[in-house]
Amino acid sequence: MSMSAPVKYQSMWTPFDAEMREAMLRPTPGPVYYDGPECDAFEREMTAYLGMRHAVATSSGTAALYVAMRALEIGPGDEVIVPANGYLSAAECTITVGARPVYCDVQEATANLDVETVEHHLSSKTRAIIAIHTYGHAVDMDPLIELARARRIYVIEDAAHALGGEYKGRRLGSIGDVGFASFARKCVTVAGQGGMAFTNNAGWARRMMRLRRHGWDRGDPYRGDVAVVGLNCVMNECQAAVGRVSLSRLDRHNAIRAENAARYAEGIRARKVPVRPFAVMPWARHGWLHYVVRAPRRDDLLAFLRARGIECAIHYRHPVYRAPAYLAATGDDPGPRLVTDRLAEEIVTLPSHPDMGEGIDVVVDAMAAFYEPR
Amino acid sequence: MAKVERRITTRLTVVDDEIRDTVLQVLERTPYYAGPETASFEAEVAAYCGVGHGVAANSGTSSLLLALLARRIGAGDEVIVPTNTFVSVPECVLFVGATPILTDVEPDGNLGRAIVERHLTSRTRAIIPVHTFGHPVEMDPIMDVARQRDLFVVEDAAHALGARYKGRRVGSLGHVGFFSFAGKSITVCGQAGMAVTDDADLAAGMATRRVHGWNQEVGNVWHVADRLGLNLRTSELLSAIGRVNLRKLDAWTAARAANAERYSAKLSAGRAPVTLPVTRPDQDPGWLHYVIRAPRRDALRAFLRERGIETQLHYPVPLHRQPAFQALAPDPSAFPVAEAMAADMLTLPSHPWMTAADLAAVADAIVEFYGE
Repeated sequence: MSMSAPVKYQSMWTPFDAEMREAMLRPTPGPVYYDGPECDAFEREMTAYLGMRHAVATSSGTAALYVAMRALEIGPGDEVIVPANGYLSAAECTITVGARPVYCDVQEATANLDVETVEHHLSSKTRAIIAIHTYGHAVDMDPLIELARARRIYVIEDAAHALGGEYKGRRLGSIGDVGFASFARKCVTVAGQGGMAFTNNAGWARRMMRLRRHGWDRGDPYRGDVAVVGLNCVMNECQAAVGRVSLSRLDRHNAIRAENAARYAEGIRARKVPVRPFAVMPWARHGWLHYVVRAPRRDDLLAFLRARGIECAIHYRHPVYRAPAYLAATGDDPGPRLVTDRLAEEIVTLPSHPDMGEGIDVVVDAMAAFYEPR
Repeated sequence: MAKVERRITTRLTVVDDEIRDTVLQVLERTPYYAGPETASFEAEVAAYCGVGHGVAANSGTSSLLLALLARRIGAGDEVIVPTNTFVSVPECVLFVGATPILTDVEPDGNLGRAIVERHLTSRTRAIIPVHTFGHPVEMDPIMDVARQRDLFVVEDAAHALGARYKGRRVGSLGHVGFFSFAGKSITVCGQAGMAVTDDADLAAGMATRRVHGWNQEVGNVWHVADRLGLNLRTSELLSAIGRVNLRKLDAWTAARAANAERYSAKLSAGRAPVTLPVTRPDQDPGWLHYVIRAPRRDALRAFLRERGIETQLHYPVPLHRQPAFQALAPDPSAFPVAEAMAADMLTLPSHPWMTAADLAAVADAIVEFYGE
């Protein structure tokens, strides 16, 4: 099949409407491009939303994780547990700060880390665990935190997929020592590009704030007594303004995403489509950024859907632990991560953004048509 | 002395109707990142500098970082860095795992061949000459050394977009050059940076590391990480603002140069005992900062502040005295020129929107201070 229909349903959804446009213009006429009132307000609103004390806005989620790891003084000689099925920034930042990523396989049921597998990878060098709430579904945090406390290991929560999601009633991103989120155009809260780190520890917050801008505190003019080697990864005011609008809609959008997920699950069951959604654990309130299923003949299905104007994504087709640069950086092959490798062959992220509406049924119909016996 | 109402500031961030309109247009089309505005901004800055490639990033610091990463400068390597510069330079060198070798500067505030040669070792891999205040470094002798020793030369042109050395634009003189577009820089788009180079491989190496090392050929579904990278993209909005300001840059530079000429004339005529900036015949400076060397600098600064005149210090504390970098060069006596400059240099307001009256008021106040 060579002809493709125009794309009608995309897995990537970038909201940008009149209210956001207005917001983006708000700081533009002013003289302050960064470190200004919009960033302040965005940080404040996010801490209120999460029920946390401190937030540090950055130029990206990756930058947020980087400043967090530096603030926790993770570096050469340290090992960091990162999920094998996850966005590459966890391993990337680990290597960037000079530490070694130890890739942990994930569970079949939720595609997330679990404490038993993590425990298997612990060593005397382990300094931190990066718990990615994959697709928006919470990692089982209590046993993980218990293990971490006993071993004096930090838990960093990657809530890039999962803002608004909960674990036993607690908001994701607020449970570990430090949490962070991304506001890139595919995330639940969008600021075009940007990230934020959260913590209740004032000392770490201060350090993260300094690391994001050459070692200076907010509002500092050029100063010569910097004691820390930072970088420049600040968020600009326009991004913060858009992020604030997006945050104000987060709960409403997540509710729609949850309805979409229910509609998919129901349609898949009713039409007997042989794809398998992941489980939702009783302690998780799913953030549902990505509605992911495991699909037989996945690549054929993708082509079939694409020809019908349905654009899907894969999170993730190429597991980071096998990426050439990452293998080279650690200097040895960690061996297969069986579940991750299997998922990489089967998973597909179906379009489920808040504007999908009845489009969900169109996607289900198309999948049913693909799997129909001929 | 009563305080005056007038305030003369060292910098002004201009947002005019053209910028407002441009922002609105961008917002109608593509609000976020990796779009046509950034591609055009890259092409326009590269063409302006007379080189083949531009790679935009979210800050000048990030641009330098990308250049070092792309050239694989790392552990065990030494990088020559003048001590009289912005913290981002040693910051990036340390970030990639290399060692900054801090050096003194020539009396003009720039790196020179003799200084470079004094610091060469078998581990030297790169030199980062800084076009301080917008005055181009004497690059030919430095490039000679670099050729002989196969060293990578990164021009720090954060102060100097548009400046020329022997008729050639800064940024095109080394292997790669980078600019900052932050609030105080010469072409402003809020917060961003760019590296320019004629080396296509280097440009591609920087571009892929700017976005997680993704292999650009794999497409947009999910990407293969060929290399380690980070996320150092800039935004479409800022690129669009930068494009507007780039078109105005030559007019602004001319205004800054005229300010410099007036200052020098007035300060000489008033016999103020200050040292004025010197321009060699091979230099067409960018004049971002008009910097004098002033006896009793701090008293002069306070005197001016009382009269509503803001001044700045570039840089109040040289790198070798900053706690984060001190260990690199514990003996301040190795930096006599930079030490003397840190004690007596003063940046006067000289942005393109200064009126002749404001400029005269600053010069008169300096003459008055020394006449008392």
